[in-house]
Amino acid sequence: MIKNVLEHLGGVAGYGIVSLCLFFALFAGIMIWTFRLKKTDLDAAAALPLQEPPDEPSAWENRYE
Amino acid sequence: MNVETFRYDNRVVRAFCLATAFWGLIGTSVGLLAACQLFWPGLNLELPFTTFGRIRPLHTNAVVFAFVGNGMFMGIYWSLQRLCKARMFSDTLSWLNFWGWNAIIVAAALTLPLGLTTSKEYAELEWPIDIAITVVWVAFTVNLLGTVLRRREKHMYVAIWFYIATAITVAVLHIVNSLAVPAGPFKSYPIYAGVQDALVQWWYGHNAVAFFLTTPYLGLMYYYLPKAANRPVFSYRLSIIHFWGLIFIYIWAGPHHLLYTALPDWAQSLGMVFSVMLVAPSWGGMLNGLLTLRGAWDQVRQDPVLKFLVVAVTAYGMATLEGPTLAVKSVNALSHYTDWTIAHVHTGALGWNGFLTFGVLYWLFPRLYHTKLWSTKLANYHFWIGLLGMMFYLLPIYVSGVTQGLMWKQFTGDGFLQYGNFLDIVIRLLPMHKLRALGGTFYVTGIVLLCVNLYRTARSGRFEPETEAQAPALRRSDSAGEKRWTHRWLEGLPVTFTVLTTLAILVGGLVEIVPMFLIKSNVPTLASVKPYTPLEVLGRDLYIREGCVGCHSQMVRPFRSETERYGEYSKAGEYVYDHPFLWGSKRTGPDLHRVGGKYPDAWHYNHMEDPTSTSPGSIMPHYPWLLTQKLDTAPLKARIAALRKVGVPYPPGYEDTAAAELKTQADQIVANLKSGMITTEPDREIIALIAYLQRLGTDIKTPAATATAAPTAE
Repeated sequence: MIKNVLEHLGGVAGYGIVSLCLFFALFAGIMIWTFRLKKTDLDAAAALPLQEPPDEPSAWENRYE
Repeated sequence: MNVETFRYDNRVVRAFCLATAFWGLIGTSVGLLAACQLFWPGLNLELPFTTFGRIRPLHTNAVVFAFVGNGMFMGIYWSLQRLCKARMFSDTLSWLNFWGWNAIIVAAALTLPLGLTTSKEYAELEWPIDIAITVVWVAFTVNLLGTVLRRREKHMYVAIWFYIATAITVAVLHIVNSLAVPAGPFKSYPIYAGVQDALVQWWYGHNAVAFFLTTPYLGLMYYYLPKAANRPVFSYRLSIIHFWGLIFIYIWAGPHHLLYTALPDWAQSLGMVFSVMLVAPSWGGMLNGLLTLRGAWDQVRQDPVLKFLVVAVTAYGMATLEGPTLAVKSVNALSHYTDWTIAHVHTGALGWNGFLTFGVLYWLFPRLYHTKLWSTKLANYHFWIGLLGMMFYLLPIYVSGVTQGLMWKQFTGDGFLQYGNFLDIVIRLLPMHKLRALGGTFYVTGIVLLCVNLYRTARSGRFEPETEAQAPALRRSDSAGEKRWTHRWLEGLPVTFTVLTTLAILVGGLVEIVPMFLIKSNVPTLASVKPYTPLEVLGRDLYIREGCVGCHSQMVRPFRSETERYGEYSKAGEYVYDHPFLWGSKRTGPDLHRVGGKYPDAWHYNHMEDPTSTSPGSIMPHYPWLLTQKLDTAPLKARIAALRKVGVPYPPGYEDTAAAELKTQADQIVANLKSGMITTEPDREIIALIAYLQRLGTDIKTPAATATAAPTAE
C-alpha cells in the first residue's frame, strides 16, 4: 500500500529545491549554534590530543619487550 | 579521585603499520605495472591473470582497501586509545580486525587476477568476501564504539567523530551496494539493474571515497597534525562545522558520476548542486589543517613528518576544489571518461592519502620503537622523490585528459568528426602515459626508501608492546554540571552522537535512492528490450571476468560528438536487464554500447586474438585464451535461476531449454565465422563473447533483432 502511494509520488523535480532548503537550514543552524559556544570550552577540547605526557626516554625504562 | 592504571596496546598498531607499508609498496607497484601496460600491452606476458582488465581492480583495491585501509586502522588504533585514555575495548576484536582485514585483502589478490569479480568499481569482490568484509567491519565498529563507551576522557575529540562517521557509513554503503543473489561460489548478480544499479553503485563509489578515503583521514589529520606541530588545531569551532557540514552533504553527491547518462535529470542536478556545496566544508577543514601551522612554518622546514602532512592537506584542498568543478555538468561533459578523472583521483590518492600515511608512519615508528627516526635525510629524500613523482604523474595525465576530451569532441568545418578514428586519439596520448609511468616509478621508489627507513628505525630501537598510562575513571556525575544543548555536551554523549551522525548520512541517501526505486516514471520501459539469451548471458559474464568495463564504457551520452561516433544515445530503458550495469567510467578504448552489428563476427574474432590485426596501433591486450578455452556451460542453469530471482523475466523451466538454445546460437556464430574464413568450435569462449558484443545496443535498432533474444515470462 505504502509502496503503491510512493510509486505515484509527484513533484520529483522539486527535490532539488527541497534538499537545498534542508541543507541551508541545517548549515545555518550549525553555524549559529557553533558561534554561540564558549571559547574556553573550545580551547579545552582542542587541547585534548596534547595532554599526553611527553615521550621522555627516562619514563619508558623497563617496559620493553 | 580514583586514578586507574591501564596499558595502551601498541602491538596491533605495529601490525597495522607493517601491513600499511607492505601493501603500499604492492598496491603502487601493481599500479605502475598497469600504467606501463597502457603503452606496452605485451607486459601482461600474454597471461590472463596479469592483463590490464584484471590488475586494474587489483591496483585500486590494494591501494584503497589494503594500503589506506590498514593506514586508517593504524592511525585510529593509536590515537583512539590515547584520546579516550583507555585500551581498545577488546584485544580479540583488534586482532580479528587485523587478521580478518588482511585475509580479505589476500583473498582479493587471489580472486581478482582469476577474473572473479562483480565488476562494480571499488566493490569488485564477490559475495563470500563481501560477507567477510561485513563481519570484520562490525568487529571494528564494536571495538571502536566499545572503546569510546569505556573512555576515561569525557569529551570525544573531533578525530573520534570522524572515526564514528566512517564506521557507520561504510557499513551502510557496503551492505546496500553488495546486495546480490549468488549464482555460484564466486558469482553473483546484484539485485539492482541498469540505471538503479548505476545510482546505487555511484552512491557507494562516491561515498567510499568520502567515508573510506576522506573522513578517517580527516580524523587522523585532526590528531596527528596538532601532535606533530605540538600545537592545538587552529579552530575547534571550524572543525564542528567541518564535520557536520561534510557528513551531511557528502552522501548526496554520488550522481555526479553519472552526469549526462540515462540517469533521470533531477538526480543528476541534485548530485551537481550538492557537489558544489561540498567545497565549503572541505575547504573549512583544509584551512583548519593548514592554519594549525600558523607560526610554526619554520618547523616544516626541519621536520619531514610536517612536510608530508602539509602536502597531504594541500592535496586534499586541491582535490576537493577540483571534485566539485568536475561535478559541474558543463565541465563533466568534457572530463568524463577521460584521463582527467584518473588525474583527479591520484591527486587524492598519492597526495592526500599517500603523503598523510607516510607522515603518520614516520611519526609513529620512532614512538613504537622508542628511538629516533633512523635517517631524517632519507625521509627528506622520500619526500622530494615522492613529490616529484606526483608532479610527473599528475601533469602529463591532466594534459592527456584534456587533450582526449577535446579531440573526441573536435569537428571539422564541414561538420564531420575531425578524429573519427578513435585510435588516432589513443596514440596521441601515449607520450603522456609514458611520462605518467615515470612519475609512478619515482613514487614507488619513495616507498622503498620509506620501508628501508622504517626497518632500520625498528632495528635501532626496542619495541614497546604496551604503554602504561594513568587517568581517573569517568564518573556519571562528571557531566552533571554540563550545560545542555551545547556541542560540548553532545561530545560527552557518544550514543546520541552516533545516532545523529547516522541520521545525517541517511537523509541524503534516502532522498536520492528511494524515489529512484519507487517512481516508475524514472525508467521508461521499452517494449523491444528483451533479456539476454543464454549464450549472451555467458558472454556477458566473460566480459565481466576480463574487466572490459575498465576501458570501455557502455553509455553513449546525448552529445552530437558521441552520437556521430557511436550512434543513438543510450536510454534508461535499454538497461533494465543489466545485472550489473556496465556503463564504465573510463574510455581508454571506445564506447561499446552500439557495437552490436557494427562489425562482422570474424572481425571480433580476429580483434580479440590480436587487436592490432584489425586496429593497427591498438594498445588493447591480446586475448588468445578466449579462442582456445572451452566455454563452461555447467553454471548456466544456476545463472538463469539467479537472474530470474533478481527480476529478469525468464519463463519457468527456461533453464532446461537454455542449453539447446545456446547451442543453436553458437552454431550460427560458427557458421558466420566460417564465411569469414575462420574455423573454430562452437564451444569456445570467444563464441559467447561475440554473441554478447553483437547484441549490445541492438534492441532499439531493429524489431528483427529482438527475435533472437530470449523469450520472457510475460
